[in-house]
Amino acid sequence: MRLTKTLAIVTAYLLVYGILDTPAAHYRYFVGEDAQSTQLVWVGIALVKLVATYVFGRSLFLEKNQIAWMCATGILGRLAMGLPFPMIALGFVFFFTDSFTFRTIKINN
Amino acid sequence: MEKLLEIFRSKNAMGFSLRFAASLLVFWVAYQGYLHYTHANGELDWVTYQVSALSHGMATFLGVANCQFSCFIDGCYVGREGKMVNVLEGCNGLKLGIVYAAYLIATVGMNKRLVIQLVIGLILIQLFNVVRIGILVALRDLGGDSYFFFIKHIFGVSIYLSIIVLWLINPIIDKMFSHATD
Repeated sequence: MRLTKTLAIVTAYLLVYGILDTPAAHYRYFVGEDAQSTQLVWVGIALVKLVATYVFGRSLFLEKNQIAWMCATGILGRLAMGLPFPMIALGFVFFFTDSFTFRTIKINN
Repeated sequence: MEKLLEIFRSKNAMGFSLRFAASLLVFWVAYQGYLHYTHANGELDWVTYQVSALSHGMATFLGVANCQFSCFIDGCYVGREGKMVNVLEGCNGLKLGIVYAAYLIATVGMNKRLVIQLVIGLILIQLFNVVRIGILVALRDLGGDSYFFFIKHIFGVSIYLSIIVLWLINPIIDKMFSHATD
């Protein structure tokens, strides 16, 4: 896959990820931070983000187990350390996508 | 133990994941220690202060009139009175820097050349962050919805892409360093 196409997919993922924050932020603003429904909306959006991350990984030909490790590390980084999930996901994509590293990747998973 | 080390060094998803998570954890613990130390002394951390001070300079350069700058223990306020932007610890770009550095260490491994590259990379990320906050202060000053659009969509994407560019040029810089030391 060409680098420009990969970068376009990465940009689209980042935009979608950012846009998904908007409904949760609006809901929190109108209903309140502590409401149980706000937390449910937050969990729902987080699940949609995981689905978006799966689609993103597959569109760049990542294996399912690579995506599983990517999500596990991202969730650990986000929930335990407050680090940005998409940036951790991008690290995995960068490591396993040959249009970034310009090499044919043959990794025994 | 030997098997664990073998998995840790391997190039598969699990090995990379473990190296990446371990590097993230080491940097995060160091950063939390630093934050704890500064808060125990009743101070704002140096990085957030410098990012805010430079953003103030950037906003003034971009034409924000009467741009003010004040700091408290939880963050700084930059901008014109009534339209100030709150620069908190989370806005200082260091968490992005942690992921940037952890990825390179997980991929390349720690060496002298990488340390120099990491220092330069972290400075570049901070400079980009300063430009970002400076532009946000200017947009807040102008008014309208552009501020919210930029803060939510444009800057998030652009700062992530800037780190991808830094990762992309890593092999080129590595080659330059090796030529220089040969």
